[in-house]
Amino acid sequence: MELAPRDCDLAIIGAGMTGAACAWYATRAGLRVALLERGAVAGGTTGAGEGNVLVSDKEPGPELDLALLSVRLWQELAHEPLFADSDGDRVAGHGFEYEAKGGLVVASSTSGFAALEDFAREQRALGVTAETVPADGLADLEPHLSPALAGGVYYPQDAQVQPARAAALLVRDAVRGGASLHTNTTVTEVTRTPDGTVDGLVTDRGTLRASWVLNAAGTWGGEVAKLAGTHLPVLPRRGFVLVTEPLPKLVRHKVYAADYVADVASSSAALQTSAVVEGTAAGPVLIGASRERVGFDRSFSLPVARLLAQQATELFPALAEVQAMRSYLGFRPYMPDHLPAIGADPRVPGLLHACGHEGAGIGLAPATGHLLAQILTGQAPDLDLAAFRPDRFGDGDWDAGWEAEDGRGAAHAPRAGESEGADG
Amino acid sequence: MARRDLAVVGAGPAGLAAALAAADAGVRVVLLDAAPAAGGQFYRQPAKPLYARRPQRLYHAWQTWTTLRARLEAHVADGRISVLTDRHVWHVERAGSADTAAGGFAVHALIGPAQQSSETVAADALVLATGGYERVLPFPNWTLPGVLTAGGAQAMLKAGLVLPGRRVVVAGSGPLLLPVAASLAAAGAKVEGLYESSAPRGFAPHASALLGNPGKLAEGAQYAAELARHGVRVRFRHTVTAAHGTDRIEAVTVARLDAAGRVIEGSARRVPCDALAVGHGMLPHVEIAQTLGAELTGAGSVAVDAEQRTGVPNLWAAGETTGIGGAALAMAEGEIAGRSVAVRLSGGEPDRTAASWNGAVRTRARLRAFAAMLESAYTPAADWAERVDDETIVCRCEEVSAAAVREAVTELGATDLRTVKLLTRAGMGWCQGRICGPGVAGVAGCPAAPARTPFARPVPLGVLACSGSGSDADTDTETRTAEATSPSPDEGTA
Amino acid sequence: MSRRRHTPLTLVDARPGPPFQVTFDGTPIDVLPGQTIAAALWSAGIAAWRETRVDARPRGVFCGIGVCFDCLVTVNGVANQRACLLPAKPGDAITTQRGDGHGTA
Repeated sequence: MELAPRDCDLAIIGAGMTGAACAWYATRAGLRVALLERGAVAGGTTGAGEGNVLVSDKEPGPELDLALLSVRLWQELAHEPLFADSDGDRVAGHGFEYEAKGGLVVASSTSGFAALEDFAREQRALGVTAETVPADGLADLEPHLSPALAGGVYYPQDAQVQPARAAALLVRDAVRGGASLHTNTTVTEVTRTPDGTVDGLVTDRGTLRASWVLNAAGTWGGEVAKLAGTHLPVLPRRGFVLVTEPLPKLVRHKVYAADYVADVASSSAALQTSAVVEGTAAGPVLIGASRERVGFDRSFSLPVARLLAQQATELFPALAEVQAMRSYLGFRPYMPDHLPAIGADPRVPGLLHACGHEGAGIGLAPATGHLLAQILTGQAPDLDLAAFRPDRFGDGDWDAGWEAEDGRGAAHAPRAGESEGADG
Repeated sequence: MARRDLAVVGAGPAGLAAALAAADAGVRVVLLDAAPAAGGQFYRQPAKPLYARRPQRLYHAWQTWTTLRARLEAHVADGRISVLTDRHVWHVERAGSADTAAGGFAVHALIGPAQQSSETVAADALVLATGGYERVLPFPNWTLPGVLTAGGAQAMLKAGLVLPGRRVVVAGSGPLLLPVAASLAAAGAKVEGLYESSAPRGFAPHASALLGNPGKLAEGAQYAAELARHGVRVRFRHTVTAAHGTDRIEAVTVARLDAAGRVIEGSARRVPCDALAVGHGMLPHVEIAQTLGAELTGAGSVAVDAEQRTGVPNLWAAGETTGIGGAALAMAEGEIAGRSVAVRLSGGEPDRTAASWNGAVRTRARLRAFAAMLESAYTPAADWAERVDDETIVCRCEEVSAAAVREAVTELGATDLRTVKLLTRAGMGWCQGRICGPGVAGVAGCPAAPARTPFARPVPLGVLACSGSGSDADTDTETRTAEATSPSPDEGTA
Repeated sequence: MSRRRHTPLTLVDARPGPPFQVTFDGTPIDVLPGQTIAAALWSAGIAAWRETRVDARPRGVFCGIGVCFDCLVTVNGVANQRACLLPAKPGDAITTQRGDGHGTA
């Protein structure tokens, strides 16, 4: 379908979870929105994750603030009647399968448990609900969990959604509210006025004029930034997920090993894996998580799958006889300091960014959309966005410099008790 | 087991031909197949304990099989070929780096029928002869028990000497329907009709392909004669528009198609039956090739060169997996692949002037032309997707209705099969989209794509956790057996 | 000469050993040695042995070659085995499989 020349207030590049949320909140705020996507809705990383909506893995700081806001907004969205679909009897495919299941982080050693409790204490001070669970209390929460753990922390605020459906439903509602959706449409140019202000887009299906352009291209956010004449150091961080046969409720919450947090925070390009196990409304159990920087290599890695299976069966021995049906991979949009870029780009008037959420894109999407809508309508955003400034990296050699194995260049300092490979 | 020069995955006509050609040239081969015996689908044998004394009554070209079998037995005896049956290959790994041929392959196979333990076989080269499976386009009530694939009816008959019902309708489109109807009738089923959606005239433009394959002409005529002998009505330009029944099929509605392949109003007839054997052509198994990085053709089969080589170093493919074309073509391709493996592994090139090489190449060309002709002559009803009403389940495994698929397209922005899958779960079940792919694509109006999965079969997590890899490719790899048993005696159950 | 109507066994002149028994939901069924669970159930006129997870609809053999996973069956308490591939053994207890096969959800 050819793009008829049109004016809009906001042209969003990328119809993944973040772009969808931005389209929804902006439309709600009264803006005329055009949502462009080179493939299909949820065609990128959104379709390759697990649907995590977490506060548990966020350390105190700007990301945790963002997560707390976002978790609340997810709850509101999940209860909007317009997101229930007509096939209400089915478990799967109902709305976006929001489950307020809570997260349980477990440690396999006493030192790991101590570090976990310290972390939870810091989070609690900022509004996170975190309940310490001693070793003998874990079975009540998760009867099938390995008995060989030292203890855990339970986070009732953690939730899960089906991300592709969530993005698609938000988009549908935005379209009903007046937004236009253009799938299979690739942006080839970001047009600017003589004084450098962004004023529209050229695509392979036509042009449009926009007062603002939003880069919500996730893992490809760097490419879009380049089209707009600027720079955003987004790199892919590959992750695999194993999917099991449909099962009855074996795993009640999202359960993960404490070293997951260290992996997220790591700047190493080498493979990091730690156990993440959760059930889904449809039945299969999802098993993650791996992180590695291998560019956009889409080939399957049996060694990674093996590690994921090992770690999952260590946490839940009953999984050993469960069949893995498939595995998929995706590329998280990774920024050097593990924080997304959210907000207007001071270098390019009219350009905004909402990308680089790494593995937290699903969870952080509503807050991202809400904050951007506030910016675009001239309101003071509910959160200080200084830490998410798109220009915070300068134009330096970020593509080269911060790929060093020792994490040099990362703005993020490791927490006490954590290092690569800590058993958590 | 010690490392081999060549592993062949699939012991059907293509795999057998490849293994034998390679072994004839001195290559040490391991031949794996999921079935209890070699033969693939085409030469699927009655189970041994049934002591069938005249199995040839269920096959054409029985002599071809006995010759293959004898050659195989000879190479098993001389140690050139090891046959591993009851091996369900779930993944093949490239040992070594992606760019070099060094390192070869590690073939991981579950040991059946229990499939709770796995074994790894290492080889320098690999021939994928994984065959094909039937395509079935959905129609109302196609999920009723008693509705099964034409090939499935034949497989059950060949292996278990059982019939799907007493009154069987055979329908759909494709060359497989004739032999299926013939063998069902010969085995005592009342075949209530063979309803082929194509027009017989569809074969006329391809006279040269037919004439170039006189054996094929004769074969076709044989089937037709058998069906006539059993009084089986054969109707071209007919299609099943719906199945009927409560917990089992009781009847089908059959209708005539016009020249454009569309149902003619008022032509519908009800045909009582207790089984429907249906199929609309075949699809190649390509998952292992895809996972290894091999390119696919536009038609979704594994792309190979004149020597049956894929673009992946030391990886060959032959038979249905490189394009549906039947057993004789599969054998020609397998032979070429096996010869190529033998020559290439010793650093040489095939002698293209050799009469035997040329013979196989000419046979392959002739049979490919015939297969192409069949491909274009056999077409399903043009309007089949219109008859898939909203209630019809299109993804059998996950019970996804056509309504859900249509909603994903019209309401939720899905423009390709992957997105439809993400939004509806169609293709996420046990069969990983192999069966529903064409149906969902047709209903959604998007291109079909092969079911892409790194696990060719489901694998227990405990097995996956212990699976050996080809990382020890420099030395003879020991067989590593990974068990699926839970480490703790306390097995949590739901 | 009149055309004799065959059975699959007579067509190929099969001389199997004596049949053994398995049970389906407690009912005994005669099975010929070498037959799969699916073939055994078909011989007894049983076309469905599973109820689907969502709609509880009956399913049995569809592709017959182990690709479609429609024929999943529970034998001796082990769920999700493909009946078309699994050889029957004397004394096998086949039970109708429901849901995901792992007991109540």
